[in-house]
Amino acid sequence: MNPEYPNVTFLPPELYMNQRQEKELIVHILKGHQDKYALIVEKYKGPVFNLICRMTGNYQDTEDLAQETFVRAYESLWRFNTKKRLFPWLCAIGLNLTRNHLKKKGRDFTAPNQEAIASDRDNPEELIVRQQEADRLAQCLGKLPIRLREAVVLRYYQDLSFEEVSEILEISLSAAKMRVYRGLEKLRELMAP
Amino acid sequence: MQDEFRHMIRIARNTQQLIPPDDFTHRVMGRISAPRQNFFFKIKGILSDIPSSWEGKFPQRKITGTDCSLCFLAAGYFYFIMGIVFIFGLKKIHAEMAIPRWIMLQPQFVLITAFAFISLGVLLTKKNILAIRAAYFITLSYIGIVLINGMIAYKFCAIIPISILGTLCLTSAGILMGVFLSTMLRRYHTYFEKVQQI
Repeated sequence: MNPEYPNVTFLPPELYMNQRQEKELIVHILKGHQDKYALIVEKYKGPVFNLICRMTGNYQDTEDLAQETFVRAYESLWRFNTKKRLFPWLCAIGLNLTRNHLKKKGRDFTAPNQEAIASDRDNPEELIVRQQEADRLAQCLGKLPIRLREAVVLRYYQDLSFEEVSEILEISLSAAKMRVYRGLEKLRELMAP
Repeated sequence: MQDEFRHMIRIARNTQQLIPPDDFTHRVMGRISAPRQNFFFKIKGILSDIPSSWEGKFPQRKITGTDCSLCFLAAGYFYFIMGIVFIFGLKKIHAEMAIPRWIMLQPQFVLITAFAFISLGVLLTKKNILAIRAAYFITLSYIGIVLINGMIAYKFCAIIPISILGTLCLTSAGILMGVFLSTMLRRYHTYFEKVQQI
């Protein structure tokens, strides 16, 4: 867990530690134990759902796309390289579907209902300000080009490392850093009053 | 970079996570169990991935050693029958007209292919990586030989228009057979490696 942001619970450490178990699970599924796939869905539905929701800004579309992501992943599971981690692969599938969906749908983006995480120190006024900031950021995020948006979402909303971002987006590490930087810069421009 | 954008990053990281619906997993599993009925999806699947679509949905898609072995045995049996038909067919035609020597050798080629495929089919039952590699190498060589044989046969057949068509059909069928077998082998190899990792 990131000590600076203790509330970020997207990728608990066990997701990384249980890679061997995950491999075993995938082999079981490949051998025909279809029901075991529910464990994978259960484990990753939160991160995948959030990723897609930050990208689309629409809860209903997110539900459909997240479901489709897991169905597609299941259908292509036999192609998955078990030497790699499953989560980036799922993210890549989800993002591909989301990109196609956004291209079809155009730039219709409504920020999902943002709720800033309240801490004990916050008074109600501070909480409202933070809530407004989160809403504003999400609105501006929706105005970013898809390529920049996905880089920013993966890095800061999903709290993934640059290496993981580059792996998911299938770009070099330096290109991932550059894309995130450009995304942040653009966001700052959009956030400026 | 972090200092410049620290405030925005803090907002992003402190944003509450969205929770998927309670029945999300149940719905995904429901969609996996029930095959899709969309006709265009199936057509797209067939066009984009013909061999896997033949195998149906994912649980049936995995190619085991037995599946692969059966394909090779079936291909071998097919070539064996084809070789027999060629031997008698060409003998009959040869009695009526002169046939180039290269064409007369085709039944032997077909029977050698039949023997090779049947041997590979037996070898693949051993579920051994060397068997898979050997089968893959021989199948790729087979595709090359079919192509070369087709080009040579075409030179001999150029004088009879109908035989050109026959040569083209047999060559393309041979190449398709080779592609199909090599695809099966590749899938079996993928599955084999996954199982071996445990």
